[in-house]
Formats: sequence, structure tokens, C-alpha cells
Amino acid sequence: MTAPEEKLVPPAEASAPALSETDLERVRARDPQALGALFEAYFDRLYAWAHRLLGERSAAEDVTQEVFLRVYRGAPGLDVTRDPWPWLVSITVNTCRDWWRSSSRRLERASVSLDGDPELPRDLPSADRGPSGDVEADERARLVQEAIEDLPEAQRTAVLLRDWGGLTHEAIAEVVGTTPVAARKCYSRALAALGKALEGRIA
Amino acid sequence: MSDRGDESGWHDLGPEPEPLAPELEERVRAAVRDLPPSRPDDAFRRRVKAQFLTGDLPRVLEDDAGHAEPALPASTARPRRLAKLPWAAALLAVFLGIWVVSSEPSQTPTWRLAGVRGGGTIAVDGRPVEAEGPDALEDLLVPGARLRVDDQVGVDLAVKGSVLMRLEPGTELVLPAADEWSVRERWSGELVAGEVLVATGPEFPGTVLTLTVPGGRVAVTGTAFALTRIPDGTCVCVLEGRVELTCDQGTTVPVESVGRRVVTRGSTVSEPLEIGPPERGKLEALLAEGWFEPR
Repeated sequence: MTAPEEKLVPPAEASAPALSETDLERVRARDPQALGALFEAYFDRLYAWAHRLLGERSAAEDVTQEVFLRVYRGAPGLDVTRDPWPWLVSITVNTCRDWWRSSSRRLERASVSLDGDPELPRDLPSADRGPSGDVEADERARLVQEAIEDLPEAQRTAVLLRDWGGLTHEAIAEVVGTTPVAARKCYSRALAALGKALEGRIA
Repeated sequence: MSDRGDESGWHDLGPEPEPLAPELEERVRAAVRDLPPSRPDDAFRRRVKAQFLTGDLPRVLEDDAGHAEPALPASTARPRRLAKLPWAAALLAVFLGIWVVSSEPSQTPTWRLAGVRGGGTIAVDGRPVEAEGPDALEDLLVPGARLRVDDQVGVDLAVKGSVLMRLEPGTELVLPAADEWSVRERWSGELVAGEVLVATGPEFPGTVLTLTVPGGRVAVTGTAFALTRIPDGTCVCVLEGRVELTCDQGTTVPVESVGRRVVTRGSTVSEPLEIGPPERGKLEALLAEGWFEPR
């Protein structure tokens, strides 16, 4: 398989300085300066990804922190000849999957003993979605985000990687560890569900 | 293992939905494209960066046994969590401090590639590695990494003298990592799909290996066993020794030597059954290879 070559950057954050092979060698050695450069290059983008996938700020913070823990642990195995971005996105998507799984365990327990716990992810304040000052755009973003959050996790991931991140189905397959055909089908289902949910509600 | 199920949702085999009208499809896609990125909180960002640079980032997700990492020190923990701690937490922190410094914490297992069967791709945290390039693969075998072997390749992974795990073709597994806060040597991983055979070696006693599986968890203190992902659950087969199977609802039952149990989501656990011939044959073959005998 080949590395995804197209952008995987949330729209408003399209340019981050790439790290050189020398920088990545130093990341492998966990040199603090190089780790700092890696952090500055990717942290905000990965946070934005986690937030968009999970729809909740505190969950995105948990996941982003876990991602960078895994990056630190995995740094000695970094392939310095390749762009680290697909690797970082894979870790983020996998960590989101782990979060969903552990979240559902928490919810199962909560249904027995913790009804109404304010930290459970069913309470999603609208402020988390980043108001822009444009009421119409904010409302549209809210509707779209809610519709995305109603999708099963694989469909949510597929549609965001495809349309928000601009990846091909082949690249998505590589990131999530599936086949391009499965990625395409999953995306088609996501799009159909979103169309049904948003028809007549977005201009 | 022929039926691996699909916990992830990526392999729905049902018919594809009707395509959207082109105009609606474009509107939906544009609406997703236009979602604004959000920015992290500055204080959170600063804290994570400082801890990342020094390697001090704590885990925040629950581990496989369902326990969250202990709270951070007051100077770095997030206020929303600290606010919920009772005053007695200070006393607990003192106790934990003594406990940790007076005991040996779990050591991180060093996973090595012990063998590759067949040819194909192994994805480690989504990064594909050709099975023919074992050096590249071994570099990625960090505890907590997620491995997915494709349908034509099997992989043996080992911690020298302690554990051998045989990942059958089509298996997805989170490589066991140390629970760094456990006094006892405790490693936790997860079987997501496929089948894994496990044998423990002479240096394993004293260690607890926990594997989360669909439907529950399996805790091992020394044995040879197989875990097979089945639709909506897991088959736990033991050839030698015994494992403890804890289902999602918390009930723990043993799976004894030459026995098996099936656990399903919703946490029904079967009565003890005899190990099936296929798993028995695979485990006997694994042990016959004499991995942990002096060479």
C-alpha cells in the first residue's frame, strides 16, 4: 500500500511546517527539541480531528493526550523516511475507537448506578462546536455535527476522513486498517444517512 | 477461525444504499467540508506539551480492566477531575505514594518477533509493514500498539522466557502493555478480531496477563490457551492450566485445563465444555515447538 498523499488537514489549518528527516531522527531519539517541533506541527490538527470525531471538548482532550502518550512511546519505531502525518492520524482514529469502546463500558455501568452523571458524553454543550459569530453558519455546523454524531463510529470516521480530511478511499483504508472497498461502502452509507438527516435542513 | 465478526462496523455486508441525488450529495459534502476546526484550550495545550517533552504524560483512557489512571498531581491535573475528589484523597495519595515507592512497578514487556508464517501485510497502528521485512516490524512492536495481520499471514510474538502469542491470519490485537501502577507484574492487551494462541514460559509466574475480548476479560497466571473471536463473543479454550474469565457484567468463572467456555455480549457464559479438536490441535502444536525449553 502507498501512503496517502493528499491533504489530511482540517480546512482552516492547511499549512504546518513539515519536519525534515533529520528532525524525525531526533524525534526517534526523543530529543526534547525535536519532540517540541513535532508537537507544534501536529498537536492542533490532531486535536481538531479528535474534537470533530468525538464531538465533545473534554473527550477530545483525553484522546489527544492519549495520542501524544502513544506517539512518545512509539517514537523509537518511527519511520523517518515517511511523512508522519498518516501515522499520527491512524493513532488518533484508533484512540478515538478506544475512547468509544471505553465510553460504552462507562455508559453500561452508568445505566446501573450513575444516571445523570454530567461527565458522560451524552451532554454536549453547543459552545463546544466553536461559534464563529455567523449565526447561520453556526446553526448549519451544529446541524451537520449532530447528524454526524448520530452515525455509527465507522461511518462517522469515514465521512470525516473523506470530506473533511480530503482522503481517498484507499488512504482511508490504510488509516483505519480496512480495504478500499469497505471504506467506500462505509462512506456511501454515511453519506446516505447524512442526506436523509439533513435534507431540507441545510441550504 | 473462519468467522471473525465485525466489531468495528467497517465490513457491513448489506446492500449499498441508493445514491443521493447529485445536488443533495454536493450540499451534504460541502456542509461537512465547511465544518470549522476547533482549537485546544491554551492551558491544556501547554500542560500536554510540557509532559510530552519529558515523557511524563499519564494515560487518561481506561485500561482494559476498566480502571482509569490515578489522578494527576494537583499542579497538572485537570480541574474538572480534581473538583470531584473528596478531602480524603490526600490521605489516599500518601498511601499510594508509599505503596509505589516501596514496591516494584510492572516492567514494560519487550515484545519481539518470534516468527512469521505466510506472506502479506501487517498493519501496526494503521501503518502497513510487509511480513517479509521483519526488522521494520519489530521496531514497531511497542506495548499498546494495535496489530492487524491480513488473511494470508500469521505472526508469533514473544516476551523472552515469559509469553508467546501466536496471531492467526486475520487477527487484530492490541499488544499487551504494562499496567505501570500495579504492584504486581500486570500486562493488559485486547483481542479485537481473529484468533490468538498464548503459551506462558518459565519466567511468567508472578505475572498477570489480561486480555480484553468481546464479551469480557481473560486473566492468565500461567497456561496455554486460545482465544477465538466469534460472532458477538469469544471462545476461550484452555489446554493446560487455568484462566479466569470475567464477563462484562462482572461475573468471574474459571476455564479449566482441556476445557472451553463461550462468552457473548450481554454476558452470557456457557457451562464448561471440552476443548474443541481444532483449538486443541493448534495448542498442542504450539507447545510441541518447545518455545520455552532450553535450546
